[in-house]
Amino acid sequence: MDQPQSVQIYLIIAIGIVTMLVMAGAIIIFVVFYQKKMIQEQMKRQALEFEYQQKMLEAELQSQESERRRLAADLHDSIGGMLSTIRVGITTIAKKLPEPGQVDQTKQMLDDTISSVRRISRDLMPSTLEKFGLLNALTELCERFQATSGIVIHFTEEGSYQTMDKNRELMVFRIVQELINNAIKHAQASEINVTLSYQNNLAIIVEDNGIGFDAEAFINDKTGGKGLGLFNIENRARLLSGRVEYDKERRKGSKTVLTIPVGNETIV
Amino acid sequence: MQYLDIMVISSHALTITYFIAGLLHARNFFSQTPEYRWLAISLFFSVATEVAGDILLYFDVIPNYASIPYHLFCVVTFSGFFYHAINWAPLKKPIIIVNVVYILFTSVNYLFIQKIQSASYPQTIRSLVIIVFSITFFYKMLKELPTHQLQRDALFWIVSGVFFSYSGKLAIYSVTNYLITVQGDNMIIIWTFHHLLTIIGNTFIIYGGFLRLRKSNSYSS
Repeated sequence: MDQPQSVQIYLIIAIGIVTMLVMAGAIIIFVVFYQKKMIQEQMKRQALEFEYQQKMLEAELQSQESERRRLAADLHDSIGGMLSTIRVGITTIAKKLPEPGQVDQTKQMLDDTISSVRRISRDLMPSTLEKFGLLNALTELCERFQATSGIVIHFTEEGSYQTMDKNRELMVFRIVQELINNAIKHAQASEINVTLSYQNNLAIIVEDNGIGFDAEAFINDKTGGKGLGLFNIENRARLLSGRVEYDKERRKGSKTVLTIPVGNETIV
Repeated sequence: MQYLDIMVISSHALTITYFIAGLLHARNFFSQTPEYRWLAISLFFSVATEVAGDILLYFDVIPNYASIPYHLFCVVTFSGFFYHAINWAPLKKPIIIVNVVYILFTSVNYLFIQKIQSASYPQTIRSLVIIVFSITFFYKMLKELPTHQLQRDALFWIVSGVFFSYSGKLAIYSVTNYLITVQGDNMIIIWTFHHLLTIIGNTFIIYGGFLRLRKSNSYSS
């Protein structure tokens, strides 16, 4: 091969190689940048989906609460009022009877019914929470559960609690209500401790000395509806930007810790 | 320094990079995922071919004989690597067909067409097959977004290295036959280019190996 021709051929080959390398490099760079763009879009989409789910959840819980509020008001004002009037009527009739003691049993049943209506009304919408705040509402809740179940319930407060938005307090209250309810209904506990700790975060710890439970199994149980309460707890905690942890290492009883960041007023 | 010396040095450097890359990816051979096993096999296959070529040259035998098994079966090892790296079941059948056709064509080429003088036709086909595999891998990666940090993904670096190196080599292989048969070229400069491209590709593969090493160390500590 003569010299100038070979140089020309090598030059053509070199140009060919460089062209191929540039094309390959361009494809690799395109892959890197396009992948970044796709990931950003995917994250944006996920954030939008998450926001939509949160809003749906909020709306659902709010409609639940407003329905409870309406039911509580109807029970207290309408049925409760009517029952009180009936009681007054019975007392008046009893005075006219030759033996007033004949209606004592009926009056007792009516008193029990009035108490039940009040209790159900309070459970549906705790007026203490609206009037006196979370601490008093939780104290009253523990006292009420102790009185009706016979289980010893201690409520302890650590740190100085600062009030939150009413809706957030209502959500915390519902979580504690559900946890105590679970301990009473399923855990066969004889003692329940509720601790509200307010330091960097708001932490609420509910522990009992019962038989314990497998939270994951309950949540994953799609058939029996056993995990519905825990599912609601998790949803409420998510709306509070908090988290619920179940102590799995515990040998006896159960311990649930709800942690909520302070000053995060994300929900309505 | 003569062109021949540069080519010999680049050839040895190439063997060393193959060996380092092979060692890095052959770590815990039996406990790692199949794509890395195939990659390690492919890299050591290359080392063996290079060493065998040098031995034959030492005994004044044409080193081309040493590369016959490599040219016949290296697409099989690359296919194994890409099949598992792409991880897409429908690819199995096309890959088998490509391999069978490639092996048949390479055999026919050795027996009747280019014979022992050169294997540039199969090499050209091999380059195209590997480029198609690499583009498929990138496409799948963009479609599924398996990782958020591409620059930390060992497979991305390995495939980029293979893709980069074989893109350049395609330009070489496609003119090799013309250079040898028509121009009567001694191929020293061209093979030096070839070695440099392979060294660049192997550097990417070695970097992928280091990423894997760092990842496994961070898991174990």
